[in-house]
Amino acid sequence: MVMGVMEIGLAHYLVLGAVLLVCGLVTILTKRNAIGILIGVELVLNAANINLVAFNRYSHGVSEGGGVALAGQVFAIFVIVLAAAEAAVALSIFLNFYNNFTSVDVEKAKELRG
Amino acid sequence: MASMGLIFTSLAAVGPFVPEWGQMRPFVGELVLMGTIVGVLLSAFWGRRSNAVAGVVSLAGLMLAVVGLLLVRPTEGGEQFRGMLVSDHFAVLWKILLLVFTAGVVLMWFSTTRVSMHEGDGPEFFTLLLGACLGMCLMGSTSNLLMIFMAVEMASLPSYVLAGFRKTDRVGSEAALKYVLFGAATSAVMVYGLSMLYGLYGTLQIGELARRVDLGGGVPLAVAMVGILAGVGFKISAVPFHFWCPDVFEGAGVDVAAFLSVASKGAGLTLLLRILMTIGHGLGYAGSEVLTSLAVTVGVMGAITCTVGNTGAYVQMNMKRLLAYSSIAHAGYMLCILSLVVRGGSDANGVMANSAAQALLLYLAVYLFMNLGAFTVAGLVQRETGGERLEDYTGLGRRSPLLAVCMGAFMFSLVGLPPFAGFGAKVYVMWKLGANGSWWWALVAVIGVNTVFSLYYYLRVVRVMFMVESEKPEMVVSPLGGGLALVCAVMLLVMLVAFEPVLNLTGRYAKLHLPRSVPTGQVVAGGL
Amino acid sequence: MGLLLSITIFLIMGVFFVFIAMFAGSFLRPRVPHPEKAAVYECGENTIGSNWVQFDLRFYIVALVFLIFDVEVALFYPWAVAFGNAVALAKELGVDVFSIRLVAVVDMLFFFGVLLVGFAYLWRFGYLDWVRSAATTSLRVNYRPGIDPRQEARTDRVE
Repeated sequence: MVMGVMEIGLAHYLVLGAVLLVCGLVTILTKRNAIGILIGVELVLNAANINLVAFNRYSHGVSEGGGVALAGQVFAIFVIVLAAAEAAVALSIFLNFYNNFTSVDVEKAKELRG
Repeated sequence: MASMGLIFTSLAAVGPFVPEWGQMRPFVGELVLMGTIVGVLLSAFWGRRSNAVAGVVSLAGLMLAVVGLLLVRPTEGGEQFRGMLVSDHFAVLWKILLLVFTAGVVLMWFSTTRVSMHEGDGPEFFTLLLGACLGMCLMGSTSNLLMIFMAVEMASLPSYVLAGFRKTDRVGSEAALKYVLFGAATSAVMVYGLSMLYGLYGTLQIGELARRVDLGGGVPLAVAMVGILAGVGFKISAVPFHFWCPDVFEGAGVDVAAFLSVASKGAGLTLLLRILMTIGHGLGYAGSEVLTSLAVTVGVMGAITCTVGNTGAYVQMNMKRLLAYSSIAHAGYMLCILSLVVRGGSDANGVMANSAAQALLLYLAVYLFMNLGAFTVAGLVQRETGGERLEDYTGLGRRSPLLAVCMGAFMFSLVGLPPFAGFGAKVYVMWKLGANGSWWWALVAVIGVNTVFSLYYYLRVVRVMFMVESEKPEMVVSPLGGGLALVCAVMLLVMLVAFEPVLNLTGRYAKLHLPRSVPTGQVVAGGL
Repeated sequence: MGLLLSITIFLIMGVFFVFIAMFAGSFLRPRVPHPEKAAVYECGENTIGSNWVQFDLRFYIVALVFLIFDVEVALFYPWAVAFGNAVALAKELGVDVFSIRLVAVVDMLFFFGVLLVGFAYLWRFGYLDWVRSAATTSLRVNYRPGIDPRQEARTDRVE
């Protein structure tokens, strides 16, 4: 790659986001440990966050009136907050599952079938 | 109420950021719910965490919210809070239905699960229930990407906990685990899709973004649509996002299952309807490729969903699981309705599309009573016999004639047989779909075939109750539970007899506020 | 060129300075080797067993409560920025600075107040206690508190 054209731009962030998305999805689909799956979910959420912030910074940073538009940044903050809330709820459910099954292996969760 | 108004008007004098009371009024349901949640938590401090006190406080709050919503004038509406929320007739009726249903679930809790709940868990249970209800209210009245995400999460997070509320129950904790993993994954994919939409069109308002869809979207737009369908489809339990539904219904308490069966699906459907209609309106219904493909996707999804639901229900021997598959099937029927939004015509008010809203509201209004009643009977039988399998229903016709007759009514209504309102709702849906001709006839055929299929497993329940003898002793039914089931059954009869007024009512409320079309070139108001 | 090159130089210099410091130190410090110094240090005690044991589940509960209140601060940031810019905003809108600040404070107090009700509930009913006793809660005696201390004490448990 020619060094001269290496300006970090929107495309780089989008590629990073896409890579994170794929990593997250693969993690979600392959992990058997519930906490591993939750980590995959966090990766996907952070992929979305990178997209939102990068889009805001590079494409949609100026409002119609010429002021600063922060929709993407604010969205990202809410995603962070809700991701934390989701993690809290999910982890407490995992704890409860652990208390009943002495494991957080999702393969163990097969009493409900049909 | 008046004093609240006074506070808001006096606050409004100090700055442009405080909404006026007139603006807040359409959201009286959410406001009262919020107050009730705080009230339930505070009641624990004085009521020694009494379950009954928490139940009564939430029931009172729900009733107050319904009354408040009934007083909302039809003229009050439109986009509020800089477009974050929308209030219109459609949202108001959805909220009324949801709140009435939630009040029914609370009554059901009093008659069924209350005995088995630890004293002291009540405040937490009702906080979660009302919190989920609040999220579902918001799902019905927003077309802003951020608020869509917030509302879906607000509805989901308490639901996950509710599914695993019985902490020492193995299947309950398993159900909650599956629910939370599935929900977290789909909502994460949805957020990624929403970020794509924001990146493509630079706005979080679906109304604005729909006008720019013609600029092209390609793969990112498809990713975004798949994301939204995943997130909302999970709430609706549409195939292929339905796997959580039977497990959660079986593992969770009967009251939680009843709540999720109508509220979660209804909220998802109202949200999807608003999204589709806003997109359709923004595109001017001009035979747009995006809109057509969306409608076809939704229609096909609906057809597959009801087929999968009905075939899945065939082999079920557990009542809650059977009702879960039945609710998947009904979600499929309602998804078919949503495919109608593509036909808006050139009318600026989207007359044709509003008929989809009317059919959805009508179906939800009927479905609410069918499921509330069926789950109430299931809860009462579970409370008395300790079981929820089909064997526990043998000889119910002798053991408790009232429950058996009511359950029979709900089963007939769920199939869509007269003389119950399920018949009217289903026929109306099929008629509406058929009236549009072309490929909608395929959907009508799918619904028809499914109805015939579903006859078998619904009537099997009726056969078990009346035809199979059993030695089991007679059941003592609590007056509250029996009364609730009876009221639901009578409502189903009344709604068919008075089908015309119900149709008129839903027709009057089937009006959505869609953002006015702005001619291209004109500056679009900024903001979130 | 510029950005990537400067990042590379920064990284190289960063690594370089670590070794410079260690290299220079080796000239100055006294050299007294002793086997005790090479031992694994754990709070002044000899280590017992592996440190790959399961931690007490109650740590996670505390972590969860912390997480919620930690992240809630993220919502304060945009508010704080808006609050700080109240003067400019007031000039732009032609209203009183004080009224904007008042509205902002009332908003945040409302938000925080709702949060505090939940926090008070947790506190009052003993969810934050390390050892939950029946005295702080009105639960029945047969309540099973989820964590069995006898089971927890077993560090040799395998999956």
